Amino acid sequence: MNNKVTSEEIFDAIVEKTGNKKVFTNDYIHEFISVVKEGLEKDGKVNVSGLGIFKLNWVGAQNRINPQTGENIKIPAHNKIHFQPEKKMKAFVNREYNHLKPEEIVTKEEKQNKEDIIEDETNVNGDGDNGMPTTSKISTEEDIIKNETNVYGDEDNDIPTISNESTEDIIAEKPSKKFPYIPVFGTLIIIIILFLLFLFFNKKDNKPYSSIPPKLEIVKNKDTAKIKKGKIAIVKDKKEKTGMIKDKKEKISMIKDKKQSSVKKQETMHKETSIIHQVISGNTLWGLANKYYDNAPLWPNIYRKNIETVFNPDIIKSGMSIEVPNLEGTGYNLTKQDSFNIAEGYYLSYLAYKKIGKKKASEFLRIAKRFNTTVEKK
Amino acid sequence: MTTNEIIKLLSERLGCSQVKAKKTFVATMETFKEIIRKEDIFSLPKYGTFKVKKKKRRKLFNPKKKVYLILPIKNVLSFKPSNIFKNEVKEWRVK
Repeated sequence: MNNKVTSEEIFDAIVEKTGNKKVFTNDYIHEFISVVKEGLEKDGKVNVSGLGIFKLNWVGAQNRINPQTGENIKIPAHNKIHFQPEKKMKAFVNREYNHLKPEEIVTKEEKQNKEDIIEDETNVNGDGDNGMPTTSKISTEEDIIKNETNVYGDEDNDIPTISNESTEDIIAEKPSKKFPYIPVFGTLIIIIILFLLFLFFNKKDNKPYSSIPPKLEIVKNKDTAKIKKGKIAIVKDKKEKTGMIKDKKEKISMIKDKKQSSVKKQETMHKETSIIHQVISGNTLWGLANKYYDNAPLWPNIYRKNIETVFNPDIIKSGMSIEVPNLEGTGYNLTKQDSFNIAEGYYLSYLAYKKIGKKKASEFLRIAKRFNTTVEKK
Repeated sequence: MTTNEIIKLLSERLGCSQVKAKKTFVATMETFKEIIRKEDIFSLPKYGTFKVKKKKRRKLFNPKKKVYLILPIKNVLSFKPSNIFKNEVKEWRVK
């Protein structure tokens, strides 16, 4: 709990700085407050350099309803105090997050929504063109409709049996029914043709994708077989029992080798820049990631740089200096290399948690795979 | 009203020189800053409280450009006047 600073403590701090008497500072601040109030009464605006601007806003009379009883309440017109801090003060208060700036986001959903809206508008216009003219003709030009009724009456033999008053209603409905059938059937046929075309193209596209994964599996099996040949000297029964676990470890080692080779290549291409942060009590890797990247789940990227000094990623000692590598992109738009680095960080944190014996260690490996797969898709 | 006018009035009422009044004025503002750095909150009697508020990260939609924006976390200094000050102000008529 934050205890409020009392006014006496403020006075004492001022006395230490200036060397004046305590009575003087007490009077000084009370006078200061009264002067600011008088200034507000005179001009409606007081500029205190170091804090900000105090202003009066005039609020007009308002009517409100009490929701419990349903009574009307009148709030009379009154003044309201508004405080606007200075630029320097704003930057000082927001000193932790000054480097963060607003980001733009363009998602796939937006593009789809835009296309959908355009399609809807075209459909609406199409219906309106078909439907509206018939009604307008009937309402405005009655003589022409009477002629038309006779024409329809001659064509359809069933209608003349009904009385003349009812024919007008039936005929007014008929033309509106006839028109919409044509575009509906036409669109249905086009959609069916499009589906058939898509099916043909998808079959052709699926073949190359289906041919790749078996190759990868074969490569993995070969490698595992080579490793197994080297270890035949070990007792075979143990292998059968722990076969599943060892396969996992070998796969992990494969992933690690791949990553290291790829990371080394990339590091030669792009050199990372980094900031050095000195740890204060209360700092965590999670908090640092939130501070510098504005996205807390990217903390393994910081842990990756400081494996030699930090053994348990949950614990940081105060007084340490930690390297915080800069991202190429931003916290929400990651580049390829960023997601590689983060996947590596998650993998290293998985190893560290496994040494300690944490239960949820395997989740970090799962997240590492997620970051790695996104890179391959891109 | 500007700060120089405030300092003039204070020196007249307390019976001290303008230099002394200005020095104490600067010292008070520095102490306010130091208190904000440590505690995030302080209050002046019969005037009001100054407090640092945290604003969360939030999403915005700009209807002109049709773009979504993410605004980052922010700290803001807010001022809440005391009840005495609020009621005094209500009936004033400024030009």
